[in-house]
Amino acid sequence: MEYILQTSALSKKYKDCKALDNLSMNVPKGAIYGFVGKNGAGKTTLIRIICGLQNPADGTYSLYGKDYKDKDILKIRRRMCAIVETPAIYLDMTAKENMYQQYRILGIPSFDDIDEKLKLVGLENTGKKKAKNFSLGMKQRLGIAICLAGDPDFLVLDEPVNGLDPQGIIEIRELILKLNKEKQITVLISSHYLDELSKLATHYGFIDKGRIVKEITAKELDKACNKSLRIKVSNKEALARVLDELKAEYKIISHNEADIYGDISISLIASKLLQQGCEVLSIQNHDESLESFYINLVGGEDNG
Amino acid sequence: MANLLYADFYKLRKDKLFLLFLAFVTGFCLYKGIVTYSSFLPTENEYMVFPLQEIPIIAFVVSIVTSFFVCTDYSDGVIRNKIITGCSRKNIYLSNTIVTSVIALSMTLAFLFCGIGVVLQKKIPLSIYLIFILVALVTSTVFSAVSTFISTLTTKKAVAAVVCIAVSASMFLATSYVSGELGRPEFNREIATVNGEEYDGFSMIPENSVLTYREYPNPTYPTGTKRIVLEFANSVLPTTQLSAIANIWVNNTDDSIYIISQFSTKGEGDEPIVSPLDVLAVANPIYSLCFSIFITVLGVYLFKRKSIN
Repeated sequence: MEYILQTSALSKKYKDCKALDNLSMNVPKGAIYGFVGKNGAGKTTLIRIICGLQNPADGTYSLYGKDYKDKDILKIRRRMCAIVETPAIYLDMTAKENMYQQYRILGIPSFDDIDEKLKLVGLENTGKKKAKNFSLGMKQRLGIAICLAGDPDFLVLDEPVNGLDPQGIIEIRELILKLNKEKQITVLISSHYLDELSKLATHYGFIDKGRIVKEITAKELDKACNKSLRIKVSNKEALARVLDELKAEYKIISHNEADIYGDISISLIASKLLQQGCEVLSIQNHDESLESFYINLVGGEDNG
Repeated sequence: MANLLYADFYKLRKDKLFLLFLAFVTGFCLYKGIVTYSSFLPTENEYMVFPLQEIPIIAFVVSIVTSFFVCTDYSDGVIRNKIITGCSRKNIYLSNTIVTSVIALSMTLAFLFCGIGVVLQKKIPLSIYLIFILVALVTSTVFSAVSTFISTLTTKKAVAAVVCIAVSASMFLATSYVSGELGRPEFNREIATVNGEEYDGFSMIPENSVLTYREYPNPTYPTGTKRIVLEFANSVLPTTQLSAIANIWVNNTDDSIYIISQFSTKGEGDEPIVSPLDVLAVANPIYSLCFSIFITVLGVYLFKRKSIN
């Protein structure tokens, strides 16, 4: 497997506090890597280090197979971009001026595709509005557009949905999925919003106290978590009969709700329930298991 | 590096604070130049004109504009974009230093207008006036280099501006102290005899008395290492050069004398300036240039090791 980022035994200390403690992780090419950990676990420190904003105290990391001390690392960095905590934009400039500025910094001679990139993030109609007057979601999207200026193939996003309203969260999520699918951009995304990450990530890395405690693919996680479908029906007994008949693994959780585990055809369940005269009121993915997995992994008490 | 310069100059062009201060300084200098010109109109009263008296404000204006310019990259987070996308820290620092030097140079160039009066009235030859401005230009880059250094390491606009102003003010105070110390006489003089009789130091001295004096070493006269350190500081401090330029004066009734005060790198009293080389002898910009280079090299070294949030 080809890796965009590999770290080996990275350590970083702030005074007496160990921010990273022999951290090793691998981000495969083409992945959306969900970097999960509570506040203060070391997510942002790791991101700052791989972005070259800080140096590790010990250990090493490589980008596209090049060690960070390699003399060519600056050229390699041109293939990546990041938003660390807050989007890096000139607040006193418009969206377009910010884009021009990033193009100048990167030495891109033509400004032709700026409109296209602003359109991609939904900021094509901001006109002369200065970035300081943007909503947080717009700033976040402008930050991503600036990231895309150099056509990177590795995007690092640190807590991109922090402070966003539900609409903003959905917009950012869809944009990340679009960039990953259409432009094959590998994304490393740190968050402690597990719900949100589970809708995006193809790989996960769980960090606690500066260490990676588990790296796992989304498929492996689904299996490990026993991910469930929560179904709400009009007749609990009919549902139990149908699920028994289909030999599904399930758990009745209330007078009209049950969690169904494993891969099972929703349409098949629905049609069988209909035959039993039972109405399906709602079906939804139930992600509580990812949270349980995380809590079990890093210890529940510490993480409230 | 060229890309960074291109981007940073664009940012400077959009910098309202810079444009505001530049307009203010230019307007003030034009006003001063015209007022000075009028002051040389024929009059019997003798008075002195200090054409570049206000030039020390350059230090403070450059401190404010530079700290805001450099720290914007930190407050808006754009410094991260530059580093993440592979710009070397050395180039980022040097680009900032070059652009802030341009801030300092453009502000100082505005002081050309202050000379309208003295040059058009032929009180100072243009060549000598231009040398003064040249020295001021080089000296002003020290303030931009120092402010870039402080702002890069401080990263917060308001804090950086306050520290830069405080450092500039401290340099002026240091120059004043050093000049004062170096200006102390080597020997003190006291009255030895009055009309041939030993003077007791207390009695009234009658008018038209014949006085003789005796000299004795001044205990406060700096010697040895202290003097070497003071002379070095006097030469190196950019404020010495600026103070020297601020203190050039011309007399309205005299066509050819222009004088520089004790704030010269020579640490001596008033001396006439008669050729461009005399200017360099009293306010040598080479020291400023060395100071700028030193502070920039130190800044690059520290910036390379700085953790950025």
